[in-house]
Amino acid sequence: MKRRRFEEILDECISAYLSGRRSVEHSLSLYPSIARELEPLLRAAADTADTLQALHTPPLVQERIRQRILRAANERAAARALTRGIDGFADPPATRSYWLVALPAIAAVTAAFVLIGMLFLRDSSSDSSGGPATVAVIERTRFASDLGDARRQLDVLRDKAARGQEVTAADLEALLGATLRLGQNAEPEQLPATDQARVESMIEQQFVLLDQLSGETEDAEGIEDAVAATVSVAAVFGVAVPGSSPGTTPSPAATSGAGESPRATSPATPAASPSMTAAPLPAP
Amino acid sequence: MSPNSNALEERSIVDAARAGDQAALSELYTLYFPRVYRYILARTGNTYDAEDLAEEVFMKVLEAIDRFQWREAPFSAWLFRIAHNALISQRRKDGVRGRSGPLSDGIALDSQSPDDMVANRLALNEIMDAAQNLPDAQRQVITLRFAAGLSVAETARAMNKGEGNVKVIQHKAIAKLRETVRSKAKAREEEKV
Repeated sequence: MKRRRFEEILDECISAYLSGRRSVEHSLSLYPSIARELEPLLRAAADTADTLQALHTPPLVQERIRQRILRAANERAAARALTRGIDGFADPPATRSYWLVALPAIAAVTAAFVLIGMLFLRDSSSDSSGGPATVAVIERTRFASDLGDARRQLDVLRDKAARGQEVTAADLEALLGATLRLGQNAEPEQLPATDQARVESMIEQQFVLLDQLSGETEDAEGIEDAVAATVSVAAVFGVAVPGSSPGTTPSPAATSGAGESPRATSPATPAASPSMTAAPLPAP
Repeated sequence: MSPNSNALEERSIVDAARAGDQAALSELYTLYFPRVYRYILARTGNTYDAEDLAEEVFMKVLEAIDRFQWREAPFSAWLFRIAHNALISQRRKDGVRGRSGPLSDGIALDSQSPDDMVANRLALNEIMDAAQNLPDAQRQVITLRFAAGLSVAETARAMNKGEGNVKVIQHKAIAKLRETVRSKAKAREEEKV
């Protein structure tokens, strides 16, 4: 019984350390009666966690594998679209013989290919940029990639901030570029609600982070640029900017002058400034 | 953001990825790749294996995500079960238990300075060596909790065990890890003398 209680306390202290809520010392001060027994284990756990958490994921490796996964997802989606509704592909009945299922399916896939080929040829003859479905898939993939990039840059900065590491001008520039690309390539009116929610969540977290960094980083200009880009993208997606009056979503046309740079129109700290204005998106 | 809103956000991302949304899939990848990679690297000690297996894990996630059910386990537990199975199958293929050679030189560590880098590297060597002596369940708890950052509840679901059981395993693993590291350090001191 006593042993079980000790394990509960040890785990409680480890969880508090892992989530950054308490230091080892703080935990020990909470349990003075068992501190002698607890201390060596808690320190060993903290050392192990610190060491394993320092294992670094190479960004290039991460990106290369991401591209492969997304390509595979694309291929699966295309294959699924081709075979949708074809008996034998979605749910192969175990009792049927292979050929009873496969022959009609092969015929249907061949017919689908022929049909798609004909549609493609018709689209190509009238519009050299490809059919609307092709364009939609390309735009969707590009948006996914842009959102992933922006999210990744944000995560890099959040991670650095959480670890107390220095956020460099290059980090801020990367965040700025990814944010601007997201705003420039997107077509918000065609965005599904789930994507819109993700963009909103990302923008909200970005404002919080930049606000936090504005008090810690010396590169005030870099922060200003990043804030301005975030405000601009918030305007593109119709996301309310923290500090602006409720219901007044910034719009580039309404709030910014043509040709003004983001730096000229944006304040350094998002949360503290009620008058954030959106600037037109410059090239990243 | 509170843990609840994080969980809600994760749920909406997972649901969108299940419905075939590639932006959601990409975001899930961003959220989980570093944790899966760290988990596998901490188990194998080899960056090449970690890269290959992490990719294999996410390919399997892609194949199986539309069969994922929330009522069975949290997403993280489901994902790390796949990672664990990939490790076991790799180990069977290799015909060895755990790391077959020394710690791969290519392992990168987040460090503030060169001194930190050396210290972290030594610490990692010690921990990985000591972890070799742990029973598999103890190694799994240590890597899931400390490398992948899973909670006890998630670890328990990933390992198909009770939370109380995981806490007991965790306690034993830390005690044994500490003892091994200390006895190796002592042996090194005696050798020097």
